[in-house]
Amino acid sequence: MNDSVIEAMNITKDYGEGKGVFNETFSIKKGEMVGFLGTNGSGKTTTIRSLLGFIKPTSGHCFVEGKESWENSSLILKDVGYVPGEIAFPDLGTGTAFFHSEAEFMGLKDLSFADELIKRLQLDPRANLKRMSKGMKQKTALVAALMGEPSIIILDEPTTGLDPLMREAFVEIIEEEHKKGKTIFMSSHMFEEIEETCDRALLISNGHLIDQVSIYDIHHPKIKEYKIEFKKKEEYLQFKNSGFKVKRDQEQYNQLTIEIEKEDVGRLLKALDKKDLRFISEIQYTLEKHFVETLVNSQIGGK
Amino acid sequence: MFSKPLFKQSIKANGLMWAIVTAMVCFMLACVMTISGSGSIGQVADGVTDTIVTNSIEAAIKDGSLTVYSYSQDGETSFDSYFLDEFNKEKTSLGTYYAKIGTWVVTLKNSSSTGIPDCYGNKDSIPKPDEDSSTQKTLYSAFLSWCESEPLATSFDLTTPEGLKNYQDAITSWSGKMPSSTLVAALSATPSYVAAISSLKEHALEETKKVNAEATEKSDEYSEILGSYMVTINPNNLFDAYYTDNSLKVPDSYDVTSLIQHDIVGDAATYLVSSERIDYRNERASGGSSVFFASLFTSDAAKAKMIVALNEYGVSEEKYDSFGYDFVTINHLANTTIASYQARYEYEMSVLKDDYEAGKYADEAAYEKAIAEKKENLRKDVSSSFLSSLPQEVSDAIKEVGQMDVYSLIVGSVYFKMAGLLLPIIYVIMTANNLVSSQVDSGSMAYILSTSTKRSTVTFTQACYLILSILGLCLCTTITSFICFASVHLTKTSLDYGKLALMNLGSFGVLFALGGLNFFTSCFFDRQKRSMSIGGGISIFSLVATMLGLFGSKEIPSIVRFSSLNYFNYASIISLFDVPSIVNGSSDYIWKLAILFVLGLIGYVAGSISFKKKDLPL
Repeated sequence: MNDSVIEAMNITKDYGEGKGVFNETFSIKKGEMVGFLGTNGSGKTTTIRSLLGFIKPTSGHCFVEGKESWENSSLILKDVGYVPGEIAFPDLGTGTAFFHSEAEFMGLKDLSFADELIKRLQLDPRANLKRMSKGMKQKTALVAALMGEPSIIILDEPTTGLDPLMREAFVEIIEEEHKKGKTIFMSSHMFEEIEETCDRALLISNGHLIDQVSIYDIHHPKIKEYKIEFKKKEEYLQFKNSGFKVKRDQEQYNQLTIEIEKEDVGRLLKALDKKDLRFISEIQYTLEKHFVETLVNSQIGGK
Repeated sequence: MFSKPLFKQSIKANGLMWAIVTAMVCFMLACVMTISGSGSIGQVADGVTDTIVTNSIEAAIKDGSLTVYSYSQDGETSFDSYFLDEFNKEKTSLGTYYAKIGTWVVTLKNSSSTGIPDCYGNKDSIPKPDEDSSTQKTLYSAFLSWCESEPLATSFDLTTPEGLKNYQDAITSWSGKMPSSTLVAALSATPSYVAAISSLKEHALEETKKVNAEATEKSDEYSEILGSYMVTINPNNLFDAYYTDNSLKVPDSYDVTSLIQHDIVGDAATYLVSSERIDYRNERASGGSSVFFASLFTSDAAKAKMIVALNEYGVSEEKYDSFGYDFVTINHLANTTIASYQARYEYEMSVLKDDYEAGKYADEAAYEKAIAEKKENLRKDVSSSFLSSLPQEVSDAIKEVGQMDVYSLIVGSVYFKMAGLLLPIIYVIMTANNLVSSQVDSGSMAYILSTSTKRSTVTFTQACYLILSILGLCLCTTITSFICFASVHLTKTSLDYGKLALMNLGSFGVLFALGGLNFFTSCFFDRQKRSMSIGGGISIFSLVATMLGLFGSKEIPSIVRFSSLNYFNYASIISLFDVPSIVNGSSDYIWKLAILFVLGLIGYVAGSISFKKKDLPL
């Protein structure tokens, strides 16, 4: 068989009125760290709930480690650490009580890893669960999800509401887990986060999976874009007509944005030789840009 | 199937509420049971009962004494006429014999040359008496001795004028000593009396057969009727014991002398119905019948009968004795009843008579009928109890109050079925929702399910917690109720430990069923708001319906009952907790309780199934 630990096959969960997820198919390999990108309400949480077997898809099946999610929810959850998007804890008083209870549920005797995580996240587990800030709750939930050292970690928008410093610590821990060989699936609506950490990104919009991209491809695009501004009008016009693909033309500033294949960069430099430039800059291709472009394309294609 | 950490978690989350609710429920129960058991609530009912009971007893006394009185009167009237009949018969036969002897004397006189009958010489030829007639024999021997006492001429010196005079004087005195015709009357009295008494006995049997066709001389009715005759007439002082035993003065012998006198005078028939004789009979019947009735009513058999009749009020022998109906009281009560009856009877009769004389009645028969009617009404009137003088509904209501088991009502229907359920029902609603829907709604259920705990394990464990906590609560109230019941001293309640335990079981059944309902809604709905408003709404509605329904139920005395409110009982699941059946000791509560448990079980199972199948927003 294949080595995918998470697999979604044509899953559809139709809530009516266009809400829900439709015909999603994707798979995640062992040890992969995959980001799940989409705007709010696009169906990320529904997909995750289907994977975990909390909801039953209208059609299609999800598999985790080869087991059907809905049928074997309690079995697959043994290997999954889950950080829900909306965090509410059982009515247990303090964080410590919560961790002990969770450990008992999991049959976990050794809490040293949890202690280490608590230390790293600078969490005070003696605090009352009800009075915790959003960040503290997030950290507590993360510790609870990771303490059992599951082989799969699924996080639903884990960094929402965290301050940048905290987010960095948070992401660092997840990356560490990733390095240990764990499969990580995390949803987010923040492109940079996914771009920085993940190997791959799934793009979802209005319940439809619109694209799957490798972050490496985003960072190493075949076609690059440069923005060039000339000091002199003659040179601007001369360049404009020298056969490069112009994407944007801003005549009043003598400015041109051109697209060029990676291999042809030498030709560009040659053409610009001895020209009096005000500046030249490469425009970075980002995941967000990719998302917007794919979205626009798919909508055009859809029409 | 069962998750220990989840159970622990549920205890931690809901244990405090459980402890508070349990403590408060037990405290309230203790207050209700000890305060209402301290005696203040039963007093009114006790008072009402005592009034009703004493009224019933007195009504029985009044009625009984009037019955005996009328039998006594009847006995006397019958005796008078029997006596006169017998007396006349006796007097006639004896008179004939007497005339025979008279004739014999006259014959002797006529055959004598001196005009002096030679009775002495012919004493063997006195007409012989009838061998069967003792009176004739007595009369015969009276004449015989008279004949033998005749002064003989030979005993006097007739030659001297002095001797002759002496002889003549002796003869005159002897002649005057001849048994007179009054002796006939006197001699007739005793056998007539005896014969009248035996006729009276037959009459008593006839009267008994009117009451009970199968009665014999051995039946109680016969002895009662005969007794009422005999104690009044007291023939030959045979019934003195009735008077002397109760240190009463034995009345004079029954007056037959006046009868004889009037018979001799020849106006006996008039005398029998004269007011003088009637008054005499009434007077005597009143004394005799009250004495006889009092001794009859104080007998053990009569007492036992009375206690059985008063059974519905729970009157024990001790209680009956405490009312103090002894001979003196009853005798006095019977006397006054008869006296008031007599007084009213006389008045009513005079009114009727006036009416009759004024021509208000068509004929004699109508008049007789009116008299009979009046008599009957009067008797009812005098002997009626307090209750029967009231309209039926009111007397029923008062009876009900008297029979009411207030303590069972307060403890059972008011506390276990209503007031004491409020807090536990709130606990059940809150806990059932906390256990499932609240955790799904907030999302914290994710931490339970993501630890590979099965959904069925979750519902089973949570249902176990809910049921066990209710059971624990009910065990606490059971213990509390037992302790409180042991510490109060109640006389007038049918409540006992078994019934108390059943009441606790009943309230457990109700909580189990409502727990099932709330557990189901908690499992079925994702939103706590919805699950709580539906499950909790139905639960609280049931409780409120029970409260309203109580005022229409049969347990509430009809004075304050509002019967249309009874419809609420049909709208409440709590009605399946049948407190009256438990108190009465009937078996209806068993199947109702079984329904409660089945309904509850359905709720738990349906909740578990729906929870297993539904999508969880976690």
